[in-house]
Amino acid sequence: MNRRHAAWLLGLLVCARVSLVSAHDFWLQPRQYWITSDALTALTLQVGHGPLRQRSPIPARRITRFQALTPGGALVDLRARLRLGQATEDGDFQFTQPGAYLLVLQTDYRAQTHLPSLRFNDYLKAEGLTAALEQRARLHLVDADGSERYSRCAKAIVQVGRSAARPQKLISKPLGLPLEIVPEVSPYDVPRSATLPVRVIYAGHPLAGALIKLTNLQDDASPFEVRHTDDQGRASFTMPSAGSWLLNVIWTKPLPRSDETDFETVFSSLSFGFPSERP
Amino acid sequence: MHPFGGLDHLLAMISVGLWGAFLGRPLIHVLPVIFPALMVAGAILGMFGVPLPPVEVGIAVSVLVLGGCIALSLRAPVWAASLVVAVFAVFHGYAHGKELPSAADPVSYSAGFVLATGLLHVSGIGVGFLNTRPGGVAVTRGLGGVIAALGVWFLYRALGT
Amino acid sequence: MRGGVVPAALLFVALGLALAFAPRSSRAPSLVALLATLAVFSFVPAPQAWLEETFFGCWLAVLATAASVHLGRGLGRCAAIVLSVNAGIWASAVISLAGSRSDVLKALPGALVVWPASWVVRRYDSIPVKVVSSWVIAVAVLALTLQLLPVTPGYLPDHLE
Repeated sequence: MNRRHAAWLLGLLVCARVSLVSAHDFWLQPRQYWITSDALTALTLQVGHGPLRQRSPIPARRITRFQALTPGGALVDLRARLRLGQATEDGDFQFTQPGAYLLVLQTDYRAQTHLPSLRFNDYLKAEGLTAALEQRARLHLVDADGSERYSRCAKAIVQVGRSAARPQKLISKPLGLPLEIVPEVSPYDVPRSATLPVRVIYAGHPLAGALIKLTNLQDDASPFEVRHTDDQGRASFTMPSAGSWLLNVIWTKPLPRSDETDFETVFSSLSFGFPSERP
Repeated sequence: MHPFGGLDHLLAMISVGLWGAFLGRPLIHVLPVIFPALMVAGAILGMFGVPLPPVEVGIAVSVLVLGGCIALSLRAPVWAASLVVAVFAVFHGYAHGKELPSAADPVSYSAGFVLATGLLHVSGIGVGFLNTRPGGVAVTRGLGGVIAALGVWFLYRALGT
Repeated sequence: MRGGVVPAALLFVALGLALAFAPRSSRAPSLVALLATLAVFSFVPAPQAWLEETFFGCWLAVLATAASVHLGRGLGRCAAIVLSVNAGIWASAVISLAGSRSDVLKALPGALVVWPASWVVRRYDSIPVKVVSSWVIAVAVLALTLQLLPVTPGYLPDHLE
């Protein structure tokens, strides 16, 4: 903002611009996304990008669901495999049957943020939460601090053994999360599709106008591609071919004035990756 | 959205020093203390989101009034000059206070705007020493007139947005 | 970012300004006391759990040290040494929590302001030094207020959980 420029006119001062120090995205990061049968594989819960990327300090009591959807369609509870905050990992998993597995983790809504007005507005703009911005403008609350309670939903696609010859349709099955990114094709299918179409589902319905980002986790200071979902909640990305990748979306809804916070927000992610050489 | 890139803020700071130079002791050093102190009070109001009348209008009025006081060589009593400057300082501080909690380095930001404010006052006092030179008073009064005219423009823009 | 250098530097500046009003014979012992305290306490890191309290205490120390400039009779010899030890303790503490040992060397030159400040006081007037100390007080008040706000400040990431 320009008033800050005026304050520095005589060139004697330290520049202190308003900037976001944000850590919005949250995801499941297995040590490897392509593993051999019975391989014990560690995973971490990650938050933030670029220099702010770090292990999530979320406490175990906030995790309400950690499961794996097996190639056979069974849901296996993995909460006992979580060991949050260990030196190098937050848990592990081990699968025997070849095929694509979908790890899913969900938290409760007990996390809260309280941000000063400028920062809250910048956060809403950066994450495409324009409806929330418009509501704040309508209620003349643009200059008011903002608060929200939020939860996390994270999925990760893990491949045990080689890809199956036929499409892995279970990857496209919604798992009932409050906000969910559902890939319409598996990135591990052979032959690999040129595009990665996804659907975003919020409270069981397609979500239009949501901002989804595809980020290369090896170079994650800024997203690789950004899309908005259409009226059917769909968006399409270029299918990656190497490295580890993250899709994420955020959605928020206003809460009644009597509530402790202004908004209730869900952060949802889907991570996947490719080996340097497939098993 | 700030209409003139912080120029209104800058001119108000210089005007405080310039008017202080006109008014002489004790205001020449009282005003550069009152303004930062009340600016901090305004910043605290901004940090806590206390509602104030439109800040841009307050800042524009400060430029207009301070420029006018210089142009007219207005010799206000100490209490009046202090009160005028104090009220305007609250508006200037409020604007900074809204931004401060979001700053990545709020301490440097605070030090920046407090120090800049003080140094702009001092530069205004420095310009005010022109008064001791032949024709200097006319020059500084002319400057005050220009500042007041710009204040009218800022006010027009602030009321229009 | 929230480093320990700026609060420590401002504390040393406040100390330098305060020592400008202390007896000349007390300045060297005060600075020696400061250096000795820094040397000792740089090896006694503050507990990380006391981060917020340590910064709060440091800002209170900045405020009190800068405010001592406005004491009617100036600083006595004992008070000068106590303030110096106090400054050394708080500066070491914040730097141990939010910086490296070399940050002490970056902040320390702030204390050198004692010489130009005492020259101004001796040669001209105490008012300019008091004006500058009021600016330091202003920054300390803003930093203290920021810590009391119920919002995530700009130097901390949001949405960590």
